[in-house]
Amino acid sequence: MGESSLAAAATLKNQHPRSAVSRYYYSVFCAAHAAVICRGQTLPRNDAGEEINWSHVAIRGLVETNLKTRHPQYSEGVARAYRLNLESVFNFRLRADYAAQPYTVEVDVREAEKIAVPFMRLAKEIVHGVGPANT
Amino acid sequence: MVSGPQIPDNLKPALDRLFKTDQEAVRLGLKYDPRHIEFQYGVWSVPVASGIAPANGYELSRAIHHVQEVAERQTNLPISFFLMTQFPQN
Repeated sequence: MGESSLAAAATLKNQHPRSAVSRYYYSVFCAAHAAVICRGQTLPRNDAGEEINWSHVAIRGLVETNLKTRHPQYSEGVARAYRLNLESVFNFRLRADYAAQPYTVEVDVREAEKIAVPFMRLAKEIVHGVGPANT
Repeated sequence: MVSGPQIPDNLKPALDRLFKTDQEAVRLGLKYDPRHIEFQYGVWSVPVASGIAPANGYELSRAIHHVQEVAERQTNLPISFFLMTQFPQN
């Protein structure tokens, strides 16, 4: 789903930049879930016992904690940078989906892409157990 | 609504001061909503809104992260600001 959203964002970014920003966020949201689950975290459950997504705030914290504690090659600063990047794309997405007045969304598209593409690469490395995830 | 531990005594005064005096916060009309500060997954989560509608998310995020880092340094607390979709009514 994350990769599909990333591809959709690339397709949309010129004609529908707000939708592209939203897709970029969803791609990192999915990628973050995949990476965290692969490192042994269990999805939360609702009152009916069904698995649900982590909240937008929670997933960012889990990514940072996971990188800091399980991947010692990532310094605290780098782990924090990933959290801040996830926060940024979430903020871009809120603007894209809800801001009533026009703004220069092209900047957000460019920055969202700069965050989403490498984050997807990182998540895939963790999910597939190559590179950083092996240490 | 506050869940989890009580809000530390130094958090709101630091945020009040910062949001009134920090140049970036003032320039972008940043405000926070003290009613919805929550402790989530080890971080104090603080909803923030901007009164400057045309600002893009990149500009807002840079300002929010700047203020967030200053707040963390001043309070020695883990803080995460997040952008709200609605401007606070108070």
